[in-house]
Amino acid sequence: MAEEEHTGGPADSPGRRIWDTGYWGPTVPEEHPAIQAVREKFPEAYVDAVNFRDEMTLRVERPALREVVGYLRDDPSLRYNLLSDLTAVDMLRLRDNPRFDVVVQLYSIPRRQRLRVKAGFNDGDPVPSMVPLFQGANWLEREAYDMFGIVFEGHPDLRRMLLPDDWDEGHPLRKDYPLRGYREYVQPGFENPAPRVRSRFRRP
Amino acid sequence: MDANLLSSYIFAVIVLNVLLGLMAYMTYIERKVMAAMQDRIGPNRTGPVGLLQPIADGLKLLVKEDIIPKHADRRIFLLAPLLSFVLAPVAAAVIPFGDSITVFGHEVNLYVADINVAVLYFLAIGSMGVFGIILGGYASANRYSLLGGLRAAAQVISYEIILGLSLIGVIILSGSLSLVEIVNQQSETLTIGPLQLPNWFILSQPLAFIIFLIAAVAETNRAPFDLPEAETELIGGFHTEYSGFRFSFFFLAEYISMIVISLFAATIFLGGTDGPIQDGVWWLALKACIFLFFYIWLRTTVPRFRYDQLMGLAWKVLLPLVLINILLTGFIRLWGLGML
Amino acid sequence: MSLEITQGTPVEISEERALTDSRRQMVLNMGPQHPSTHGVMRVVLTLEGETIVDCDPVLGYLHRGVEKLGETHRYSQFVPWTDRTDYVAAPSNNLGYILAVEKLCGIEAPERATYWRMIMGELARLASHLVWLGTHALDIGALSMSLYCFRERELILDIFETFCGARLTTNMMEMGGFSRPIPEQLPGMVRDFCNVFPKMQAEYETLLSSNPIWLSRTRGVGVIEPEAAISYSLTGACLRGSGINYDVRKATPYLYYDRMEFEVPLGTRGDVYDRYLVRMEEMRQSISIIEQCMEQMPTDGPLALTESPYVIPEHDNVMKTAEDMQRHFIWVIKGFSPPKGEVYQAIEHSKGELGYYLVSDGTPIPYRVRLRTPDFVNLQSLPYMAQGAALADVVALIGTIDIVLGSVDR
Repeated sequence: MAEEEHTGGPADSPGRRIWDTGYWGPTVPEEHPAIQAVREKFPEAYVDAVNFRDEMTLRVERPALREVVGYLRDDPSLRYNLLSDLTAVDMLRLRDNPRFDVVVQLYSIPRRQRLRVKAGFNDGDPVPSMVPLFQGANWLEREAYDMFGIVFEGHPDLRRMLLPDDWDEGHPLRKDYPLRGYREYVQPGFENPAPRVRSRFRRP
Repeated sequence: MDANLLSSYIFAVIVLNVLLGLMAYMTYIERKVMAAMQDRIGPNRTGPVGLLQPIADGLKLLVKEDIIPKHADRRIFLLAPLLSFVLAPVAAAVIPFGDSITVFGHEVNLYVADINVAVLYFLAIGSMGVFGIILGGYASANRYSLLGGLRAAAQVISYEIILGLSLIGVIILSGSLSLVEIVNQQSETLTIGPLQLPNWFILSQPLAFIIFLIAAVAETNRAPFDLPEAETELIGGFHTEYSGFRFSFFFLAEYISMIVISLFAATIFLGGTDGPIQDGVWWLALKACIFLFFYIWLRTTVPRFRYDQLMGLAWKVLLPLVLINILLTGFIRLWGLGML
Repeated sequence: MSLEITQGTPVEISEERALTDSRRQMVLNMGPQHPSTHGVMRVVLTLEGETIVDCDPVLGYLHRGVEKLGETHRYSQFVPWTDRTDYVAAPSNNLGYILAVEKLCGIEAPERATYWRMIMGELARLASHLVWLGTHALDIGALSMSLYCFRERELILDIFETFCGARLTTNMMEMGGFSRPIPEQLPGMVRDFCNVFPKMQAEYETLLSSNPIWLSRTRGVGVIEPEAAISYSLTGACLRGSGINYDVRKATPYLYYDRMEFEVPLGTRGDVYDRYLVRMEEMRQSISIIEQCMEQMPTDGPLALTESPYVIPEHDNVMKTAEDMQRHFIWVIKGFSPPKGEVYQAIEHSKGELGYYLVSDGTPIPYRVRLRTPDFVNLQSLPYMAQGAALADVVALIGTIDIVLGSVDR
């Protein structure tokens, strides 16, 4: 790999890229072993697979998320055994239905491959919890609940994580949550709440 | 009034004041020595090379607000630091600072009192001092303080035994509990072949000396045995809730008991005022300084023990060793060397 | 819409048992103001004597909503915020974020800049490990270690200062390389540091590695079995201390880590002492990586991409050519718009796998910024490790996980 001359140019030019991507498996979904296996095993749960910047994203139906991830973890030829990350994205401005995406980043320690599994769901739909599969999902799901209000079904202890326990203003990472919150707060030493200024950086 | 008693009183006042002054500069020296060991400068802003730092610290503590927690047991909370502070220098009363000298035609003994159970008296006062810590920890109504007090109680029970037993060997050899008598015995010179050795008990009781040294560190709650106040676990331990001058009473008590126990160790094991040339109180001071330096050195070097390890060290390691030492000393005393 | 929170099934406790338990047990609030929680973290401990029965970390005292802020700032404006997550290793955070944005845009920095990025990343790892070692040893009671460690960290901070002008919150990495020249004295400073540091580290090891008190405080404490370590999603030294070989630099190399020769140290028992040894060895490997970088680095060559809409133009040209001035104006006023898509970029931070997950909707402002901070995930294992440990061990465990609350709470 080091023999190839490194151009330093845009990545579309030939040459090895720094963020080299063999670690996400084949770039064509049809050739990817994990995608193939999931398509065979869960034909009704599979939605699609997208490749961007050589990263493979597998999209599945929400109710089957835990089964799919459990299968990816346990299958001896796949073994995505490390839960790198679990988070959610509020797609409010990008599409209508479903509103949220839950994003699970998996990594296989023996095979050195990453895979992203996504499932879409609407507000209030219970998402199967990953805690029975990965202990490490515990706090990540609590954080996702805290920030997005996602209810994880089967989570042993779904409390707020980063916000106070008595926080009653909703879930701040939702796109309809204003940057400075719903309420006006009076700063110490002032009589009236500070005026709300319009953010300089409005989304176009 | 008896002239002897009067001179004792006067001498007691002198000893007390010297101790307090020494204690103040002990903090300064500790900070300077630690700074040198840790690649720092240490206090250097107050006065030349920071010499006035102890005075500045004292003034600062005096003018600080005295906070008493709302749920504290008020009377005990106020009493506890005083108890610690009063008892710490009292133990110094039995330490002989030299032979008698003549002042204005009066013969003045350089010790406050020569009682025939001086060693026991010293141990008793030493274990009384911990009451201040336990009561202060209990009365603060703070869980960290309570844990600190509990640790102090457990620690003092274990290490008081070790400390007392380590002195038994010396007492067996000297046949006396009076410190004056023990010092007098040590001022003789042993002649073994061509060697001229002082008859210090460190030579005949090396194991007891090492055990005494360890137990003394634990007794004064210094690192690595500073569990009652372990600042990284219990915030401040028993003195978490104390502020201002009440806190400084605990602080003073710790440093005074350090100095006193160093003087005591120098007296028991290193021959007290006995020295190669010109016996006198300066030898005692020098020997005590070696112990004090050892304290500071320990504090900068080693991590802290865990509570159960501390107990394990006392009961599983030191206690058997010290019992063996007593047995050996006893056998030697009974059937051993005729010269003892 | 009902939001039913699934709770664990309540355990039936007889009245008598509950009474004795409540008398025997004590709840101790460790933090948020506590010297050994490394910031404002609260751990609710249930103690029986000094033995821990239950442990529940309560976070969020330093939560500033960094992810929400990321959704309101343009891509390049978010870099200073990454400094403030893990503030003891700020260049690593910058690096991870910039790599993620560059991947999103499909560009990459020239060779020389990449080498400097690696050097700065490794120096940040060293600085972070030094802070870890100092505070970890201080928690266990070795007072002097912290001062020695901060003494060496000062050298690293001096290098940062020479490189970018800031010491702690460096804001060092830029899109497409570095827009300013490397200061002349910098290579010398880095080489000097590489010569000095191994001797200093040998000193630390004489003070700790075979110290019987240190051994008794760390051996067999906080053991995590390899299976549990994977299940808890541990990364970094916490995972490698349990003997699992996962280092992002080796497993899925980014930058030029595939050109470097270095070892990934592994522990065998998974206790506090093994993690200590792993991190000590990592520091040696970092020095070796820095030295290799200094050797392999081309002496000449561009430091930044010039012809890319995603990169700020060179400062000199902005003043001279109209095109660059226009580009500069647009870059500063409007920002750049990466293509639509999503990327996840993981780097090996000093504490574990630091992941940035970016979702772009084609506007100059990221649609979603997700920080997967290693210490937040690693901290989950604290209740597992603290089970049955002594109160004094909790500070050792918090130290061994190596947390920075800015990064945990974000």
